[in-house]
Amino acid sequence: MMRKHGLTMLMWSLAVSAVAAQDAKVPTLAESALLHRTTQQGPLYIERINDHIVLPLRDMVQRSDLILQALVRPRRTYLSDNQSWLYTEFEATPIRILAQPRPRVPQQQPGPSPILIEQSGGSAVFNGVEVIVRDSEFHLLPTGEPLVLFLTYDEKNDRYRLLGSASAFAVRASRIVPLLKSHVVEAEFGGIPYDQFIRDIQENVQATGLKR
Amino acid sequence: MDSRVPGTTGPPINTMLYYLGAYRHTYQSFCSGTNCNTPTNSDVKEVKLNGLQCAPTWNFYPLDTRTMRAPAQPIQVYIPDSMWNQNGLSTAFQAAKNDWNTALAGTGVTFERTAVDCSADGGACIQMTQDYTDPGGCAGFQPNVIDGQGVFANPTQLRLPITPADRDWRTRPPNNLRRTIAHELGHAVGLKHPTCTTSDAIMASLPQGTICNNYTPPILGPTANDILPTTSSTYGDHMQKWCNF
Repeated sequence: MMRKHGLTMLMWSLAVSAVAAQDAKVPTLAESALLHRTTQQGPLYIERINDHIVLPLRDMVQRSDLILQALVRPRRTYLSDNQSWLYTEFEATPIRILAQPRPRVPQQQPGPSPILIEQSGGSAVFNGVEVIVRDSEFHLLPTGEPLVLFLTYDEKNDRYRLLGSASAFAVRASRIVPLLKSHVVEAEFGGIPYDQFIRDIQENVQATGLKR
Repeated sequence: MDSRVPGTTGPPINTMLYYLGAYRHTYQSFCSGTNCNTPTNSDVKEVKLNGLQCAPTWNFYPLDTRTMRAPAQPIQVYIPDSMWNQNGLSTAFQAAKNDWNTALAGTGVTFERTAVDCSADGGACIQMTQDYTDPGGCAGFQPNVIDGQGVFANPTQLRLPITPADRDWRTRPPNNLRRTIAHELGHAVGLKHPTCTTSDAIMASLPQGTICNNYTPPILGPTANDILPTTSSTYGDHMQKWCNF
């Protein structure tokens, strides 16, 4: 995924300008904020409707590079290269590593490295308007409560991403609560006792021959 | 009277409301007269009802109940030639838009492809792109700004993924691609994901374990479960009441 990195990004844009000739000129968040401000007050919500895939637990375990229980907190929000979307980078504080089938060597400085997770969505102010962009059924990860996360490693950007929108769970009253608001994922995972969910993950790790 | 119970509506109607389709129910109440000369019969009244297999789910703006939708006019769908000529997208789009254009007859909404970016058309423009990178989805639809009634005020985006392989639209089987396009056009006219099965509504979510390119879609176009909430409510009287689900 390309990122907006000032001058570097500008040079990249020039280099591919011929290729991008057919690309649609999608509204930037700044343009949308300005248009919103002309007719309405308050924040602008932009929600993307995604057609989610809900994988069985076994497939989720197989496809993950890291499964952990952690607390997360947002570190920064950044703009997509076409300036029409936001991404938020979270730092995860592990409570428990549940499985790490494919350990990664961090590319950052020596010493303990934080676990960085990128999620689609975020909020920022453009032209004086607070703009909140997010998945319509999967909002930003909540802070202050332990989450169970299935992650894949994005080597290019040296950070993790969620395996899918159906791969993040809260633990409330000792039961699993899918963060994706979908009757499909709710039927599959909703209300499972936390201890049982952890056992199911570990059994799948063993069954697939992956490392714990 | 309980019209959900066979026979209670009396012949020759005997209609149950869970029959799929649009109905006009005409009814009148009768009661016995009294010595006080109270009226014995009510006026004849009529109510329009839609029988659906699952509760309709409109795509509301987060802060209120405005249904976010395309304007009731011809909608241009910008599909660059580089996409149009790949993997049968032209055939899939033509079939999907024909199904919706037929279903939406009388609403003013029609979909047509354009090979030129239609961003100047504002909310009457859908831009198809292949830059979809959100995790775990077969496609995405993105409204941006809406007006006071919920109508798109600037272009929207229909995004298709090219990675990973089992989500890449460029290798999606013809019927799966047609189903994807039909589903996304449904988002453009204000629908979200109902609890119907994929056999009953084009707007249904894929069942657990189903991946975009590796399943056989049971239906390819909108059904009454998709059409009636759109034509009757979103582009009709804007009523959003439902019951008995």
